[in-house]
Amino acid sequence: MSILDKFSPLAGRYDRMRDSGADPFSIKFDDVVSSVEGVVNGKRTLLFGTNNYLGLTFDPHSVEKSVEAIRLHGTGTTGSRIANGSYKGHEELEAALADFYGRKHCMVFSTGYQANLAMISTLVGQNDHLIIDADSHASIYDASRLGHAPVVRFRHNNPDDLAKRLSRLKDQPGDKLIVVEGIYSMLGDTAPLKEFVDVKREFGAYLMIDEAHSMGVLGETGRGLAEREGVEEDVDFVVGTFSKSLASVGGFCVSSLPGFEILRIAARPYMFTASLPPAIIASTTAALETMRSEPQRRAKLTANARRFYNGLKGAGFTVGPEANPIVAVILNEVDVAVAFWKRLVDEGMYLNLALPPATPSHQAFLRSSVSAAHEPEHIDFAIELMTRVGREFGLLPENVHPFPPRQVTAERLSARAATMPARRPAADVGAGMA
Amino acid sequence: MNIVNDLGLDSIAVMNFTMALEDKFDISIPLHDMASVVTVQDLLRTIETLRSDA
Ligand SMILES: Cc1ncc(COP(=O)(O)O)c(C=O)c1O
Repeated sequence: MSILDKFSPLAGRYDRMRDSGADPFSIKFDDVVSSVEGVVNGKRTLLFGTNNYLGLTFDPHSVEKSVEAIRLHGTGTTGSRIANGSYKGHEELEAALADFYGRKHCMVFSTGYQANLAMISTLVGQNDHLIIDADSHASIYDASRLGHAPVVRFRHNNPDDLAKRLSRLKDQPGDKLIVVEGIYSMLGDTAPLKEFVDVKREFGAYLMIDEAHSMGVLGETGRGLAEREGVEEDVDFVVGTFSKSLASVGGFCVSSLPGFEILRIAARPYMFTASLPPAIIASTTAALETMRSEPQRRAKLTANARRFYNGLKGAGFTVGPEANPIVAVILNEVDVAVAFWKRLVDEGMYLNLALPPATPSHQAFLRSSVSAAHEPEHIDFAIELMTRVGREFGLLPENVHPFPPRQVTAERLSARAATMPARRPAADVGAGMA
Repeated sequence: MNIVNDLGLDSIAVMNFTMALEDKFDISIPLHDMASVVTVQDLLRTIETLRSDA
């Protein structure tokens, strides 16, 4: 008996996946050479799974500022803002974000995950109510467990369902906080924010939006879904991350709510962790400047997202409901998805494999994120490759073979391969080297 | 009967089951109230309490 025995069901599932020749959880990049190119197993690989929406990871402005900050201010802050003090850079970044969002206050956190953890777990107390979308990101769920407020879920992106659940709470005392996301990280769908705002007003609740995947992506100036939908006035708290469009690491929350600053000495995930180091603060501040001064990046990102989404949809794949930079191909069978993913990596395309329970409804997603740094030929390569492999796997409509109805093993895949001449040897489908 | 184990429900299924119960009985069942539910008896008691509070 070991303390780790309780993980044996999980370990069993993981082993079965590894036996099929693919290990999406431990892919290694020998090198990453640009926002969209890396080296995997010695092979030049196009990156389609980075969340690097604006392609700023190698941007000279950010790189130079970051190097300069290390030289001037050192490699780390070696402590938290509350216990060990803030650097000027922290305050400048908070001011820049508050200015960008047109809000009075901003708090910066060490990760986006911690931004959600801190804000959500602190804003609502045990006499309040937290109401979250059923498909919320793990950080929102974890925040709901760290805090003391009763938690109610509503059906994903369903304002009527939210209203129904709020009406059951209408005679209960306490504040109500609704949490939604701008673009959902798995399927790339956006929240029906105008309708949510109507519900929020009707029930006098507070509204928080996590713009992790929509900052820099949506809206006239890149403030996200709330800007695009014209409802920023009704959004009480915007949470976001630096790890996607801003190409570094960290998170933030902006708000104009009077008294907001007290959260600095109330939110534990802000108080009891080391603050972001100077290099990160500097590159993030620089990336925010670039994001504001180069809106053409957003235009190119949007065009790339449409090209990719429409290409995959046109080929016959089941994709998410909207053409956003997160493009998910939805597969019903986990084993097929794993084999498909491995084939794409072997052929020089890296993307994410999203498996339940991270996905809604037990499906597996081949999840890509498009970048402004992709060129049209990158996108076309990816569409062509995925279409070719999709046909080989019998997943596309023009192929007479429908989805296998039950669990597909590597053997069964290769058995089907034998019926179609254009396939590669079975060993390549699911039994190669991880 | 252990609702979670015997019905083979994972954590998401339990949360979805909770949502369905909320709609069936037109009550609000906070997620942490479900955490302590193991048997059908527990579930009955939880729902009864929530209904009498409502
Ligand atoms: C919706 C959402 N919120 C929060 C986070 C957490 O951000 P980070 O990875 O920067 O901690 C992520 C991504 O990981 C996310 O997808």
